[in-house]
Amino acid sequence: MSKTHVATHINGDSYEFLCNTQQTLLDVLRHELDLKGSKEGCATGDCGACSVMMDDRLVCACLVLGVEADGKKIETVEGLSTGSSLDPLQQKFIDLAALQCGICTPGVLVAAKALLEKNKNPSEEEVRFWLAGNLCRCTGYDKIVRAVLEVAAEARNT
Amino acid sequence: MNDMTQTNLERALKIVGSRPARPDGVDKVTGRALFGADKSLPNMLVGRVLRSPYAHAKIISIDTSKAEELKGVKAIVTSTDFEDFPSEFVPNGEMVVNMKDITRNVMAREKALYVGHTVAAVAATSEDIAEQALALIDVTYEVLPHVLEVEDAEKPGAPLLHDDMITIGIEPAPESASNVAKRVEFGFGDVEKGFSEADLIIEREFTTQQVHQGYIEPHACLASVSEDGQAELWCTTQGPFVVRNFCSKLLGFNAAQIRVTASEIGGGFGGKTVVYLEPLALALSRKSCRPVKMEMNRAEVFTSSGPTSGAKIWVKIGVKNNGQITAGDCVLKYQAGAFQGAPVGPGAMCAFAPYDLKNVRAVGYDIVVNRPKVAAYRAPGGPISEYGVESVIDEIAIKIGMDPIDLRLKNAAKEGTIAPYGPKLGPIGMIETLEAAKSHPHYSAPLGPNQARGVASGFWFNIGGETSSSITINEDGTVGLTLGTPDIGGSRASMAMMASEELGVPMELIKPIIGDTNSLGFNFLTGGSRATFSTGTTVVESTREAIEELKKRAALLWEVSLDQVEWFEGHARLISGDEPKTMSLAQIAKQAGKTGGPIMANCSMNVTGAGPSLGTHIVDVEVDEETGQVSIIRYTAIQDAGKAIHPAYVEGQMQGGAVQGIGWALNEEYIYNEKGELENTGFLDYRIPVCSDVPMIDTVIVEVPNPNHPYGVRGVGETPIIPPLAAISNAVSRATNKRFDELPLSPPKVLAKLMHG
Amino acid sequence: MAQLILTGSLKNLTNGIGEFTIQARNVHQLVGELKRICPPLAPLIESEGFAVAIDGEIYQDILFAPISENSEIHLIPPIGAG
Repeated sequence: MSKTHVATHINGDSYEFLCNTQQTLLDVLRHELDLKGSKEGCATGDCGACSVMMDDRLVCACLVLGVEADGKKIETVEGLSTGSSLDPLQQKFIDLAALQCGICTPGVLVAAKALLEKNKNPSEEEVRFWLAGNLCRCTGYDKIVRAVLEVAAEARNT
Repeated sequence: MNDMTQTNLERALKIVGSRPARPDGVDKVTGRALFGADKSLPNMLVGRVLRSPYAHAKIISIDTSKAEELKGVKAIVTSTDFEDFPSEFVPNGEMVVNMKDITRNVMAREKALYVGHTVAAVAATSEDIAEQALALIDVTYEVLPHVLEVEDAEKPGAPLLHDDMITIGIEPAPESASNVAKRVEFGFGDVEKGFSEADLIIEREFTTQQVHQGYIEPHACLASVSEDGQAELWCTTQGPFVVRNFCSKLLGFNAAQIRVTASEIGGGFGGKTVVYLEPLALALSRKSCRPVKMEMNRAEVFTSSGPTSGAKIWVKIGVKNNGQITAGDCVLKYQAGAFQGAPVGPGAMCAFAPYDLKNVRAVGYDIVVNRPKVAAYRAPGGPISEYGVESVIDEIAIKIGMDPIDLRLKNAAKEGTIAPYGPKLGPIGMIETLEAAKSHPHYSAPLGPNQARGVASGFWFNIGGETSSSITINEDGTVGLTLGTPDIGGSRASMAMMASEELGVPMELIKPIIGDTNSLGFNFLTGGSRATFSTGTTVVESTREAIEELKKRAALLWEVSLDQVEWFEGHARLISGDEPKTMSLAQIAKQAGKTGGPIMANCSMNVTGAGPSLGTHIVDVEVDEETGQVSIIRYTAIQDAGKAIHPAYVEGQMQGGAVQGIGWALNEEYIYNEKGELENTGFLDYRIPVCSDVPMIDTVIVEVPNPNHPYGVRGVGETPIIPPLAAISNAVSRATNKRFDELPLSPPKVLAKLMHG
Repeated sequence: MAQLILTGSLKNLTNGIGEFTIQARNVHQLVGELKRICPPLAPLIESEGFAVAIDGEIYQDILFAPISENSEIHLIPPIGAG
């Protein structure tokens, strides 16, 4: 089977890769580009562990084909921090113990950042519904929701 | 140990009880942390599994010849590649396992016993080729009738899963085989006499469905066996040493030949305490002499790993009008899945354990059915039996017009109470959690229309077990900790905190890692709420030994005897002498080479003295009478932690356990069709709670110290999943004035009850 | 002399007798004693991995857990791990 050439931008860098047309973006990220931060929990778009941004839209990388990334801008958990400084969400998740095992954390962080870019002042309910596509089995969501609300409040105050 | 305990509890604590950042935090928020599926090796093959499409079938033959001819296929294994074992219970760490069953669950032999049972495995150069090869394996089955529910499985004439299964625990032993593996009974006193003294007796049957731990990370491993038989195994597991022992037995390796390294683990909750893919990957790698990586997909996790039992239970409780319980009796029938081993023993032991009873009996049956073999799930067996008991307690409270917390307080177990399983209990916090619940503002807050409040308590034993860890003092005064229990929920933080507290050096200077199976003595797995208790005990002991060595080196340099030196806030300090003299840990460490060599200490022990943890939860629900939808409006979890080393992660255990319990109570269930196929094999229709399903989970940490741990730790992980089932069911019953006796309380079931009673 | 107390289904193995007087200073000796005075109980501790509660403290697979003169001993199944 011949492969398709794809040129894309991931976390600000240009990437080129060859992939089979049936390969998902998640597959490409993890296995072709060795970006293992996006996780596979279900491969059916139910768990959100592979949440990434594609042209500023939050998507499950397991539901996007690798070839669809052609000419697009992809952002993954690996692009959240800048140099040695963490994104405020990343720091807050550590400070508030908003993760236990950490497998859902990359997807949750990408999704939460997408929310705060759209909505600077989300209510608890808005956070909960926005993150409803990101399953977490460890935390009961309490500390995750608090972390997102605190980061939003701090961003508004600075 | 008790003497040291006293000094510790009286000392002002600086680190223990605070909320520092976890050592692995940055790795986890940046995507750097490597989980089971995140590692690769050069020249690696991909392994896939062929699974039975039938719930119960004889395997007549397996022809792999066509698959072997496919280009790119490097190895195929079937049951002939695994040793067989006689039916015998052998210790494996702290578990007792029947290797005859384990080898058959890893790879079906004579029969396939559930849909998804492994029949063969293939390693190939790509996933596509491996999948094509599976399709080319020709298995001839003779399909047999199957049985899924305990009430059908125990009937005479039911399809038999194992022709040689004679029920254990019945005297005289039955003459013919059945699906009932075991009968257990606990209790004391005279329940009939107790019931004759009661003013009110409530008796009720309950049903719970099979549920899965639902960890987000599927099982995954990477095995590499070299030509000389040396094996490396990377896998997501709660117990690398337990994996090593299982795999070496199943494959005929010795323990030193297999080095198991635990990856970061993406949730376990008991489900990652046994082996599924690991022995297959090792067998494929041994055959191909190439690294083999295997991952389950989500459907395989549901059909072929180990959920916990669905059950039928019967509970009868007698009570005086003043609330005094006169007798408690229950019968528990738990699904074991395809092989014996339902957690009905612990379920029976803890059913009435929150209470101080004079007459009590709990009978349990372990019953095999054509479903996947159950594995441990958070407080294995406890949530089911305690759901039944706590529901009846609530019904009694309503009938005698007593507050449900007061009724529990009147009968609460305390220090000195004889537990239903025999021994006297040490200090426990049942009364303290009930009192904290009663005085919590939540308990007296007003309720809206169609809303009601439920409460329930829960008891779990907690365990200790074989544990080994080590501490090294580096030349620059920093500290390394090597631990043998994988960190699922932040335990590296609590270990570093305890070492920091003992040494008196900042936690940031302490680096805790999880060692592989060659770096430490045997460690039983992370489970049974034992990591912070057991590994914490060895960390404190080895740290104290290291401090003794540090003092010794200071004494040498000062040319004084050891008893002239004490340890104070990260420094050796001369006790007597004209002027105060101190030497920091870093100063001593710098000269360690010249004063006798590197400083390190380890502690290996079989830790005893785990303290039971009691919890009480309060929940407000709202029932939509038109749809049957139950919403959780407010939730408070109260639990005795003994001592919270890192309170944020203790709260996290309580919140996470509560929400898993909410899922069990409201939505989660295995749904089978008439062919014995699981119909909901994904997160879309096996619906675990999502963020918008739940409110904030308030927590209250009660601290009744466990006298057997240096800081009073009990272990907190398991108890919080117990109370939600009954608390929610009780709230729904109170909201609707109907008694609910079946889980999950999903909209169709609630609606049916509302419409038809 | 320590007291061994059996409840529930364990009594099936001892013809309903629920109390035994045991001369043993630790679990290792207890197993030896049980083999002598009540043979059906010994395999439970040895192979099925029963735990022993001595004065309320639970010991799993610890042969040299001490038993004192007035100890109360119970046999219980091992507690699993979730």
